[in-house]
Amino acid sequence: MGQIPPLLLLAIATGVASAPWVGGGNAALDIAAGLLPAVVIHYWALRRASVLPVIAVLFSGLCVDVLSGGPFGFWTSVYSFSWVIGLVQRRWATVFWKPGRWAMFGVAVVILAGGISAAGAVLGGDIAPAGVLLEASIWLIAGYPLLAAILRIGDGTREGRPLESD
Amino acid sequence: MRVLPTRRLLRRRERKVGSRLKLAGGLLLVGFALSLVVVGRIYPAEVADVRMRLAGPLASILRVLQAPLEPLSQLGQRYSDYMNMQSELARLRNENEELKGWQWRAVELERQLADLSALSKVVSEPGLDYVTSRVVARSIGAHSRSALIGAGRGAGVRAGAAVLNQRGLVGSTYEVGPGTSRVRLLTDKTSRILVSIGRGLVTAEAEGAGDELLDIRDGGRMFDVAVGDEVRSAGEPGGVPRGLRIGRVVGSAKGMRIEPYVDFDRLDFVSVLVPAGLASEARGSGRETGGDEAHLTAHLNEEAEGGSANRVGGGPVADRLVAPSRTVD
Repeated sequence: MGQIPPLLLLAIATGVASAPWVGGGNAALDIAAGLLPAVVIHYWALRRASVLPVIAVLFSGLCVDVLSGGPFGFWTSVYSFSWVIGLVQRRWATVFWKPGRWAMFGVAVVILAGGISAAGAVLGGDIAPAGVLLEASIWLIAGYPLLAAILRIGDGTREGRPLESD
Repeated sequence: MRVLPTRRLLRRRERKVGSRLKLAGGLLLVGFALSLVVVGRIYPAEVADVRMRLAGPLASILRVLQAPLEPLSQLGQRYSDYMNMQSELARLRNENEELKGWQWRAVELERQLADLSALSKVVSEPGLDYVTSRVVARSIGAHSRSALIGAGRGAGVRAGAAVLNQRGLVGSTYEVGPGTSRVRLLTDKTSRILVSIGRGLVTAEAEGAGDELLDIRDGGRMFDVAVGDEVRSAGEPGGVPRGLRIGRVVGSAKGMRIEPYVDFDRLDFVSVLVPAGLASEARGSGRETGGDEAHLTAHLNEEAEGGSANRVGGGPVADRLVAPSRTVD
């Protein structure tokens, strides 16, 4: 039963990522919306990886790839990187308190933005310029406390369930 | 002497193994995703075909997921409408005055055209029908501008078909699946369209630049082009027909460019022009589906108020679009 909210939240984030009304013409918000599933994936990878099966990460990425029409496999790569970064960072998640986890998310976003920029250079530069990526990263990092609060409520508790440790 | 591990130590070891397995799974997933990118580069046509086949069912799921968030999107649009109301009202008043002045002239020209066509035995152009569908998804990225719509081969849509909404030309289809199509918006970096500018009918190429405006290329008589000139499609065989409203010429730091009439950030319903024969075939085979009537009514009302691209777009297209539209949702 504990798996339903995280999967549902990931499904909603996947739906929002390529929704036609998201972004409102702002390229940075557009990219930030595309990264929303990555935020959900990182959140659960960092806290309780057992509630999010790896196949859900794959399915989310494939959905966005199919619907958005960009380079195929691109968003699947971004989301799976987010999953791996979260898993690598989780050993420190129990050590740090909330601001520490916020900083970890910041590091993850910077790594993902760097990856997107590099992929854009390799795939023909049609993803986003550095300025847009920087703005999108700022939006996501600034909005993380709110996003984390929504994800915590989705988990069924206001404070969030205890973190899994290695 | 060997100490037997306690239950706690065993659990810890199990957790460690589980964690390593998860990480290994994650790394495998990364490898798989990167291989998808490589496969997509090597076999672009095959991957596009598979993608368009999957897009139909996924679009249906997406609509269900987006339904709870729809009020939020409408809230944003209403706020933006409210903020722009005054300037929009003033613009519409001016436009209305100008159109009233043109109305009598248009009627007169239409009569003359009909007379001349009858005299010169002009071969009538093939009829066009149109299907109306909702935009399901959009591209993510700063330069790539495309949208997925819920009408495909089943509704008679073919690659290269013109897509428009109540304001003007939106773009053209480039990938068509059984139940969905992908539309390349005019502002996409790879978009190119032949246009006719101003009263001098200067033919040029309008090129997407990845931002809100279009660049003008190959305009031989650019000295005949002035800021404020109306831009319409020049027509291409088997593609976008002649006379569809696109935008107007504006001055910018990069020289004269085209500002499209369509607000690409607020695309909701769009119409795809299809050959009349194909559309009736699709209709005959019962492949059309009912639409979201409330949204369609709102769309048609807006069309009636804002001035349809089909009607205002000029003689030939207006004449050919006589069949009633169908909605595929």
